[in-house]
Amino acid sequence: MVLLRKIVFYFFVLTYVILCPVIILYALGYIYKPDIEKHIMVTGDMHLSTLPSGASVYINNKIFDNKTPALIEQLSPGEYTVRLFLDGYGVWSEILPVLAGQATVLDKIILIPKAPRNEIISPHEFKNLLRIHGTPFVILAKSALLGDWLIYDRNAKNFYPVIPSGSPYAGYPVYNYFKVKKSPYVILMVGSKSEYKALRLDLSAKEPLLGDITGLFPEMPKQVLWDAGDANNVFVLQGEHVNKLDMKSDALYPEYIKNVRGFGIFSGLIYVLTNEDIFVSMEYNKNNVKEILNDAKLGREIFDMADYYSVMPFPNNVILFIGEKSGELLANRLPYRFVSGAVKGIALSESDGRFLVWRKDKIGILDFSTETTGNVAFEIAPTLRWVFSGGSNIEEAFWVYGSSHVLFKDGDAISIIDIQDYADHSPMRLFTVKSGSSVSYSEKEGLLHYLEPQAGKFMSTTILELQQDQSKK
Amino acid sequence: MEFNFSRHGLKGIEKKVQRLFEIIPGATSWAIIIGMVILSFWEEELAAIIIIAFYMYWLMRIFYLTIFLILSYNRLSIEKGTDWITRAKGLGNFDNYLKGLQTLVPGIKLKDRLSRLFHRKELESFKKRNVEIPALDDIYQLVIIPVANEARSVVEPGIRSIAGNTFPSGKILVVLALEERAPEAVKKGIYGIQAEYKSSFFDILISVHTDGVPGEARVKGANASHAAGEAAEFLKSKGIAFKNVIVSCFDSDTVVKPVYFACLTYNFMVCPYRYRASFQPIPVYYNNIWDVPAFARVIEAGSSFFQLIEATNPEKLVTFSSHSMSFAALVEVGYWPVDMVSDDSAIFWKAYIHYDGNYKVVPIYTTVSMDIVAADSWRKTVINEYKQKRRWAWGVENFPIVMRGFLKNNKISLYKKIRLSFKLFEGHISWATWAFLLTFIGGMPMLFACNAFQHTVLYYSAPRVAGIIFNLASFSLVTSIILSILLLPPRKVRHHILNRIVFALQWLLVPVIFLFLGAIPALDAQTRLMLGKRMEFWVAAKKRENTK
Repeated sequence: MVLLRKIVFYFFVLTYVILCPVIILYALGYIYKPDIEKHIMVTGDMHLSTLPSGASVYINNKIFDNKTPALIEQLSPGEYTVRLFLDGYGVWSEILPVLAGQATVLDKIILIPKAPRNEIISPHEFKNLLRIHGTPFVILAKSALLGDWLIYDRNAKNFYPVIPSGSPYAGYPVYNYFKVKKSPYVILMVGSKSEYKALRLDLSAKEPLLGDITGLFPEMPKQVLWDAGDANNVFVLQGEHVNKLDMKSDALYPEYIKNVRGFGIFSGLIYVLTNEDIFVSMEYNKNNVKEILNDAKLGREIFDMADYYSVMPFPNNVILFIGEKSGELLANRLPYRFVSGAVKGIALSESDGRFLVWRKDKIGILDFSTETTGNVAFEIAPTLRWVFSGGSNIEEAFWVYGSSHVLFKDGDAISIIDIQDYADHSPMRLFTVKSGSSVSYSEKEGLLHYLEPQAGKFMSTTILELQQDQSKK
Repeated sequence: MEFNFSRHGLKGIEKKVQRLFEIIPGATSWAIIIGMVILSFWEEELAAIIIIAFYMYWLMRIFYLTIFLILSYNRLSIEKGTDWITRAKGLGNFDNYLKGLQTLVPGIKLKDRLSRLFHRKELESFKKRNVEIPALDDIYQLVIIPVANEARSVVEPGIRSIAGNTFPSGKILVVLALEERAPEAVKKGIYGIQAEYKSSFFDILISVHTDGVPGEARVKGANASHAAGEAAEFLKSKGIAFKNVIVSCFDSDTVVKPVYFACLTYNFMVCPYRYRASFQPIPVYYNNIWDVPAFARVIEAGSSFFQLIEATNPEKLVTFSSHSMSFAALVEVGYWPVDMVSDDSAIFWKAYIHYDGNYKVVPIYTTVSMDIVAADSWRKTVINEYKQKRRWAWGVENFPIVMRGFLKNNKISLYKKIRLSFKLFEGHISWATWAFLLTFIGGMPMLFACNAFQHTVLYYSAPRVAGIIFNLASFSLVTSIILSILLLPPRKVRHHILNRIVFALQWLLVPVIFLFLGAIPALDAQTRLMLGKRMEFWVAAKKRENTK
């Protein structure tokens, strides 16, 4: 037994000594293909994952055995024409590079149906659509009159009027509205600029109209903000001062903060940019005032004295500023000015913290994760990468499928761009919507709600076939 | 070599060396675990390569062990029906007996033929050495059973099993080594056993070990050594030579097979270096196997398998749990250590250093059965299992003493020193780290992969390679399941086929068990040793539903 044990022991030692390096090299991509290359070569992989899954994979016109999600291994370094086919969907095609020892990863490919998966939700004619981002509600307007406004609950899939029938406000035209992401509350200014009423709605309530709060608005406001988690403290910009409204007690605190050139709210704090180019944060009761920027010279260099700024604080101490007149995009990070003008909107990706920035003609990605500061020889600033240019009138843009794609409305056309590495970033035009109307996209459902261009019907179309994919799994 | 096999009474450099070697195992285990976690964060690619290399090593190791598990199991089953007492008697007329073995016996089963073949080869090899064989009639058995807290119901089945042995019980001296601190009920039970079974043996002695003897810790070895001392006096008074006495130190719950002492005696007689050897049976934990939770069965089956595998490697075998040896050797080396928890393995190392490396452990292919740790509730059983495994892992306390002994002893060859110390060290390190590497840490490079690593071939190939390795390893798991079922004791009427299916399925608990009742207790023990926090002997709770 002792001798046998020794023989077996040395056999296993030898096996390990030979096999272990071979397996590690194989895991690193080293292979020997006597039919192609006469020497050991380092290969690369390609990982393709589609929504919906199950697409056939063709590489250089050769079908691959596995369907998506598929890992294609042991590819010689070089460029490959990859095409994905799935019945009922357009062909996805791209020339993808494969590098030695590297994996080319496209794990969020969206296959676009040949015929859009549209569904009529309401056959009535609507003039406009108002999205309340981060909530299941969409407001639909048949005309400018408040009595013609309906709320659509995407979860319950039902409609109900904004105000009860016979309400004295039914005949008022909607002049302006204020909403906050993820909050079901909306403040409507109805009537005209000189003779207006302020109404407060709770879209999640059976009877949304909470009351007439005109008394809290001595002037037509420029900007109204509140925290999605605390709708009782409302801050209203009027002229160069901010009024505070206590919705619980219907109390107005006029000129609560003066000399304001921009303000924003985040996580229980109010951020204020003053006319003296001082930037501070404070609690709602004005306690704990913290000076974020108190350098008038630097403030003048960063901010345009003649402009008003929307202040948008975000997690990780990122604060963005958009000039009302200039449309310039500033940030509290070097080099401060990221877009010199004409910015129409920004959207934060909650999956990776990147910002989608759009102008009339361009769409870009602002990425603060690339920033390197501190103990480095040369600091690296955050980057803004334009992923699409050539738009004519980009009004809205949305992150789709995490932050792999961008869906946008350019004029009346809805298009989508794949912004993953290796993708060529050419937009794919999907369909058109009613001229001048807004659209509402829900990542959770993968649905885009819009108004059909001819008859203004309220429609939805599937952008991400999430349910189908889940049922397949 | 005269050597202080203790951590006490050391001075100067020796004390520092002892402390250094106490720190090394725990520090190494922690360095491996923490190092791999840090590497998984900082250098995912390197971590993934090391993990693959480790998985490969683990696969080779378990394949290697599985082969010897199967061989050892086969040897055990071949010897299952062996009439050891007839063999021992046959040695009295060696040449004629060997001649008889050399003649073919037609019509016997393959199993018996193999057993006969091994037996014949053994005797032929023995004959070449020209060593004298002691007379069977001269041989006495001394059985020491330390009792601290165990009820009569736990001890008595073992006594009955000894009395029922094929070896003449009139030549078996039993010493019930009672701790003075034992509860009155326990003492009463032990005296009851003495009264009832005295006539069945040469004698039953009860030694009472008092607490607080200077130089002693509250450990089983102190009690057993005290009992051995009293037995020595008794044997002297009876004029029985120590070299004719084989001493077995059993756990209080040890139940031996009817052939145990016959098998032990035969192996002792044919062992050329019988006075420089311990005899190690295969411990199994079947006394209460059907009365304990599944996880407890799996871990104890693992312990039995470990000993089965070790039995195939006598060159590196170390005593474990219930074992036997020449009483003359025990007296010469100064009995079991009286300040160590792991007296079972420590006695081997003590003898090995004392005899300058000329000491071995001889595997004997018979089983001794013990209780699986059990308590009134599932939770308490887990806690007791944990404590018992930590106590076993406390065997790491041998490492610093053995290393000190090796450094001091110039007569043991460097090769032997390196081989045995590496085995001792590696055994404890792998015990504490492997389960972590195989469960949590193995997947960490993928889990914490940065974007750059996510775009490498290795990121995709490593999990696949690991999957293949784990699938291949399942061959060993299946083998373990089959052998664990084959090794089961005859089922009781109330345990039908379903229990056996459950017994097989319980092996799915292996990854959890080997982490929580394997690696963590071992790491706990090593950390305590590293930090200088000593462990005293802890008496495991044992429970049986039926004692009759």
